[in-house]
Parts: sequence; C-alpha cells; structure tokens
Amino acid sequence: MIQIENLNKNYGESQALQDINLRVEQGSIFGLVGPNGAGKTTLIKTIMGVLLPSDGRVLVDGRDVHQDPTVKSRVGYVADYQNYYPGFRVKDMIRLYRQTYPHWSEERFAELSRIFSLPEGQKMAKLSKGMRTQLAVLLNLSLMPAVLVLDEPTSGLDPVLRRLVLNILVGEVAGNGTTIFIATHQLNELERTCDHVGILHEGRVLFDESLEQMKENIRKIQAAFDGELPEEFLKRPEILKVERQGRVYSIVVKEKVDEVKAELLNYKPLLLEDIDLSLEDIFIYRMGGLGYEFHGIVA
Amino acid sequence: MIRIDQRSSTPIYQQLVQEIKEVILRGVLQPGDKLPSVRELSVQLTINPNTVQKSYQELERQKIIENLRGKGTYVSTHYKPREDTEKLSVLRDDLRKVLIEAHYLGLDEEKITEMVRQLLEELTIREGDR
Repeated sequence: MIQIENLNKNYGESQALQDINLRVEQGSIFGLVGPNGAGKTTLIKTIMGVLLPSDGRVLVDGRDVHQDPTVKSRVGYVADYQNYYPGFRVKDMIRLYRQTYPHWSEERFAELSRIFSLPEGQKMAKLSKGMRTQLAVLLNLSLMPAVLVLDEPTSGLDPVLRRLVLNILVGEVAGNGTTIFIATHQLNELERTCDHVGILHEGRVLFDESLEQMKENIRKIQAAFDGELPEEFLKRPEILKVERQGRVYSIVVKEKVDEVKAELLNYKPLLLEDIDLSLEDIFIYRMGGLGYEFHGIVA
Repeated sequence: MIRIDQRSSTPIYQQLVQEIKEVILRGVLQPGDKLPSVRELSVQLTINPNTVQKSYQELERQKIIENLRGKGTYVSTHYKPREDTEKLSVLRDDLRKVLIEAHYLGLDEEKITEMVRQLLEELTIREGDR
C-alpha cells in the first residue's frame, strides 16, 4: 500500500508538487497521467525516496520511506530511462540486484528469464532502450516487490513486448498482491489495467477516481432534431460541450446523464444514441472544462 | 471467446459478466466446468485482476458460478433461473430504451419481433431448454 500525505515539493521558488494526497490500496493498480512537466517524475522520485519532500510524507506499507529506508528493499522501480552503469554487463547487474535485495527470488528470476531472453554477456551501453526496460522489469520483479513503481514502462517497446509487460504486471498483482503505481501517457493501456486513475496537472492531483466512476459520470450523446434545441437547455451545468453539425448535436454530459437524456426525448429527436468515450476523450473533455471547474474539482 | 471493449461506456466488469453468461448460455462452458482462475483470465485478457474478481463475485452472487474453496471456480450445476423483481424491472427499463432506439431507427413491430426471434435462436434459448 502507498499513502501520500500532504506532499509538497519545492525547487527554490517554484512549487513542483502541491498538497498531494493519494492512497493506493494493496493489490491494486494506480495510473497517473498528466501533461509533460506536470511533476510526474518528481512525484515518483519522491515516492522512491530519491528526492526529499519539502513537506508531508510518503508511506509504503505504513512505513515512511524517508525515515525508514529499509522499506525500500521491497520496492521495485522501473524508471523511464534505465541509467545503469555503462561498463556493467547484464550479468553484473543481475549480481548487483541479487546481492542488494534480501527477498530476491531465484525462482521468479528463472521464470522471467525464460520470457525475456537477455544477452547476459552484453554491456549495458550496448543495450537498446527496449532491452534495458525488459532488464529493469526482470530485475525489479525478481526482488519480490510489495510495491512496484513504473515511469513510462512501455515507451520504446514494440506492441508485442508492450502487451507482454502489461500481462506480466496484471499477473504480478493477481499472483502476489503487489501494489502498482504507474505513470504513463498511454491512456489506452490504463483503461484495461488500472483500478484508479489520477491526473497530475501543474503539481496537483486533479481527479482520483475509479475508472468505472469516471466512465459512468461522463457520456457523449448524439441526437438529431428537425428544429433547434433551446439555448437554456444547452446551458445546463451538466453539459460540458455541445457541437452541432446540421441537425446533429453531439452533447457531452457530466453527471445526471439519464436526466438529460429524458429531457432530450421531449424535444422529439429523430435519432438519439450514446457514443462511447475513451479515457483519452474523457481526459480531454475534463481538462477542457478546467478553466471554470478548477476549484470544484480540487475541493 | 471472451471479448472486452475498453472503449465501451459499459464498465469492463459488467462486460465480463455479460460475456461469461453468454459463453455459458452457448454451452461453451457447461455446468460443472472449471473457469479460468482470476490470474489466468486477467493475464489472458490483459485486464486488472480486481476487475475479474469483481465479475466472478457478481456471477457467484447470481449463483451462475460457484467457488469451491481451494479448488477453483466452476459453472453451477444447480442454477435455476429465478424471478427477481428488482432485476426484472431493470431489464424492463433496458428493453424500453432499446425499443425507443429501435423506433428511432425506423423499425416497426414486425421487424423488432423478427430480430428478437433471430437473436433467441442464435443464443439457443428455446422453450423447454430450461
């Protein structure tokens, strides 16, 4: 389990992270998304204990990572770029992890080595980005993590490897009850694999909801009418966005979806249907509504 | 056999409940057959294991599958469709919505009845089956 309490991180005058409170339950997968420069890597490095918080704390399985660093023996970390010692060979990295992590499992290592075939004699400097990522996943799962933190783990992987890594991650949660925290731009990957999703924007976490809640609370309705819809209807606060092409209105509704649909029926639509929204669409609409909803969301 | 559409507005766990019901209804999984474990199914479909768990719990609650402690999850051997007024009213509402949509798609009563008949045939729900 990861608990982040009132976390703030300043770099001089600038506030990189502001009042972050998050809780990732044991055996669940949390997906963090956010535009570049939002503070994702700062947050991850603070969770990992690499950066000290300016205020607040991070607990892993109830222990403060900055006060009690031994808890990190059960935390795996797959960074966005694997800065391994360039002169090391793959086998040296394996030896280093084996000697460093007390819960290292030879059995798990052997099992994963059969899946990823890595050239043990190769120097780190010669490994491609994809190879380094595979090595990082292999090493960090073999240390039998209670918590696994991943920063853009699938960038630089081809679709086959990407699917393979995701499958290994969901299997890890199902088999070992590992808690996973994953930062990514790949929203379509989060859609299938995460319990909760949060968005980091200018150093704040804006929403932290289950995917189900998120999908239930926002819908896109397409409806066609012979006449026009009255302005006052379209100004309802639940309506986030209206687009019109000829007779067809596309209406994005947040909450009270059924109520809005029932009312639309009163205007005798020629056609009325729900359009599925992907997580990406949902984020774009919700971020778009940020200007006037910012305070409401944070509160 | 099981397909999940991540883009759909229907939550993945509900899709999974629906898909498993269909697989059972079509006889691909039969009473007494073992279902894949939560881990197997989540890896196979690349979906969150808690989602699979939630679907299994829902199917268990509906007595369509049963969990034999330590042995795994099986398709119930003694499932009897039962009348559940609350569920029936939800079903009725859903049907109503579908009929409204059908109306706006220009389907008349005859076409709708024909469609329902065809679907029942596809799913092999005929009188006397259960």
